[in-house]
Amino acid sequence: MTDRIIDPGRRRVVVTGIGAICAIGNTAGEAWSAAVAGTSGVTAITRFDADGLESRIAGEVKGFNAAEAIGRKESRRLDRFAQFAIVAAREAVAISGLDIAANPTRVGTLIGTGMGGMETFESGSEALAKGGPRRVSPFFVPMLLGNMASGNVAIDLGTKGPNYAPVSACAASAHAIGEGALMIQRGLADAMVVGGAEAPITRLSVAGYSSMGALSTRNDDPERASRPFDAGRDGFVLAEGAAALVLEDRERALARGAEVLAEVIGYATTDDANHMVQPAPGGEGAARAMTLAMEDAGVVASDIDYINAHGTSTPLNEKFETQAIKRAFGDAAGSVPISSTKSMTGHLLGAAGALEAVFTVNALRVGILPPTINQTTPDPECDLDYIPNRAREKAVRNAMTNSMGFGGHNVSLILARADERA
Amino acid sequence: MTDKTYPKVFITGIGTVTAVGRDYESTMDAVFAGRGGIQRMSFEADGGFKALVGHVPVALPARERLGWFARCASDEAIVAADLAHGSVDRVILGSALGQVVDDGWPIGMGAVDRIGMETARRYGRRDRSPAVRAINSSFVSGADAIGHGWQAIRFGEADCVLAGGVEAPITPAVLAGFTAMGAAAPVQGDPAAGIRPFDLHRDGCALGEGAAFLVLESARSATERDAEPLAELIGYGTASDAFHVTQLPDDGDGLLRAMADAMSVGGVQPGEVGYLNAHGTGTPMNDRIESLVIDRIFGPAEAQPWVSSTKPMTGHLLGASGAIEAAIAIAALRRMVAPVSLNLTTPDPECGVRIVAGASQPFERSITMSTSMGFGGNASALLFKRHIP
Repeated sequence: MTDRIIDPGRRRVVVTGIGAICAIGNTAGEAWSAAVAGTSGVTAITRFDADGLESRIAGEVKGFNAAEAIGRKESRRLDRFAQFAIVAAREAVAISGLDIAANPTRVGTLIGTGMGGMETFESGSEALAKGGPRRVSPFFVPMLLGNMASGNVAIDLGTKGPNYAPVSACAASAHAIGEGALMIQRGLADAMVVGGAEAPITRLSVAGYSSMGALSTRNDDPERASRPFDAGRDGFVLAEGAAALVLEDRERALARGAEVLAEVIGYATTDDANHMVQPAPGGEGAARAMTLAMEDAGVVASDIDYINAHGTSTPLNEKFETQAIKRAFGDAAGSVPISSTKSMTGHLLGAAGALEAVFTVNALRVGILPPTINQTTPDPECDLDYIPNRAREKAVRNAMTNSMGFGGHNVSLILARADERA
Repeated sequence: MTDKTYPKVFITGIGTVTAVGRDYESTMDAVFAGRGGIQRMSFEADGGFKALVGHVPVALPARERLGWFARCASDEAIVAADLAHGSVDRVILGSALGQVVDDGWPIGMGAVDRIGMETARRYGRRDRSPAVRAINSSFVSGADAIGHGWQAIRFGEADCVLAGGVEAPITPAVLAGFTAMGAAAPVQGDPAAGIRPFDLHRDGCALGEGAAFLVLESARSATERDAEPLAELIGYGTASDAFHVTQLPDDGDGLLRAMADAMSVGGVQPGEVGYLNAHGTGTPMNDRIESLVIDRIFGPAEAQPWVSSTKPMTGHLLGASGAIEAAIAIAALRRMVAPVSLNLTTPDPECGVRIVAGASQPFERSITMSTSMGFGGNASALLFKRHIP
């Protein structure tokens, strides 16, 4: 992107609600407790028979009953990724106390996804193959569409403002947060429900990512398979779930007496179109996103007290991400604590950025940094402070969360503690 | 910030590939001549399953079509804009379904992101990749991609944006899905007469495939390089009716607000719009609600624009439809002709708008509009103004 013109009079954007459902918890609170405790949510795949696949482990959501959560009839008309989105968005709105019905056209929804309705695609294709065209369901198309997390959340909550799904691979929900914040800054909306949803634990997508050599094959030891920054990392662990945040114009949030959980103070994106799949060597694009986000926020590296890394647990990602942090943070790189919560949740693809933003909001609120678990063998090329294995108490003024997509998107978001800029 | 500080946004290049033409000029010639591209397609591997489709006549395997359409249309737009390599600083690509052919990787929306990145690699700066955004707002995706490009230029994030939509939905599973919903037109009879938007006997749509891309430029960028604008993009509005996944509310709330917002931000009065390219899918509900909204937005008869749906020619390009129809709305301004709405033989009294029936119709006003609606409750509108140098 061209460098953004910083408007000193722009509206401030705060987070007033968070929601999540993932492998380590079915609410934002549950997931946070598990993250602080250093719990892995990775298990052998139960969603389908994974026999014969190279990678047979995943971060599955556990004990989720869609019929109970959303209603029997409604849930059957929603792909799993849209079900997750509704659950997370409802939680975020409940926590925020935002009365959407009071001004529905000024509230928008952006829920990103990397893939869309994969289970629907596979079951529809299977129905066609086995029973012919007449066996394809009337709900096949409306369940398949990639905007159906965003669309159904809007329908469920009654938001009538702008609505679309960023589908920028693993940066999708980070884009949703950043673009949603921009809409509020620019006066295009007063509040936005933003986030991401993904349900990729299907035979086709596990096989697809496997064929790229992207997934961990530590099948006999699932809890230790996701080990970002550790020398023994061998690929990411596919995971499912959703996360959502309620963003609001700060003045309006304060006027209605909302509890401010954090403030979104910086957002920047860069794209490595010249380097498909692999991040750019030296982490140049990612570093530039971090630097631009700090410029956007008006902070310097030493103001950042925590980084939630992209940290997928692939050999190349963490090597380049470490280089990128060093490039962007300079001398401060050695002292900023960094963790990858993917070590516990697995990689939620298009929902990862939002889930990690939810964790980052909690780190700011309570002054606890979630760990990177499974750190046993340091990688000499990854020599920063990754908060190994145990959570750490530390007051955080500002925190950065990074997302890098498979197509080469780099998104950096900077959040500030609620009282940091009072 | 007041409106005065926003830069003007010009369209300086267009590329399209559809069932009726492999490029923009041939597509527009067919559209304004009223030549339809709908045919009956039979899938022998699936028991002779048949559907009406707007098929691009090119012998490419199903898997390669999505990428090829995007490449054709984006190449053409760049050449038409006479852009040197490296001028584009943002690529925005919309698609509703993405890659729906189950043989290879990536699949689903991941393929759209990949195509966006490939497009950026072809046209972006060598030293710094353009920003790339892949989006999905169902059948509004193409219109929103263009609208987001307009916003990026207005808010100073970009000077030169390549924005558009792509779709390759002609697969047995997707066609069977639309058929099962009751949204697909019946396959019996003359395919050319099968899609009849606003007609009393309309009974469904035909899926089309293809892509359309527009080059959007700030006035500064266009002036600096002495580019000739094809039109000015003066307004974009978007809204969600949050009503139902596939049904529209009786008052057409989302579309109504999207159109009103576009006109308000563009400073456009109802009587100034000469032609409206409607979403006009040819399904009973869509055309009825859309007519009601158009009637309400424009008010008195003398303020109503000419209205047509060009989907009987191209088919419904889903996530690309908003982009191809924006391209048609621009062509209408350049020709000062509203393209015909094919197959309107028995007007529906519930569709009481000024449909271009029989043959394309000259008009004199200097603004055109394109509207899109999608599953999930999305609606958007784009407004174009004639550029007089």
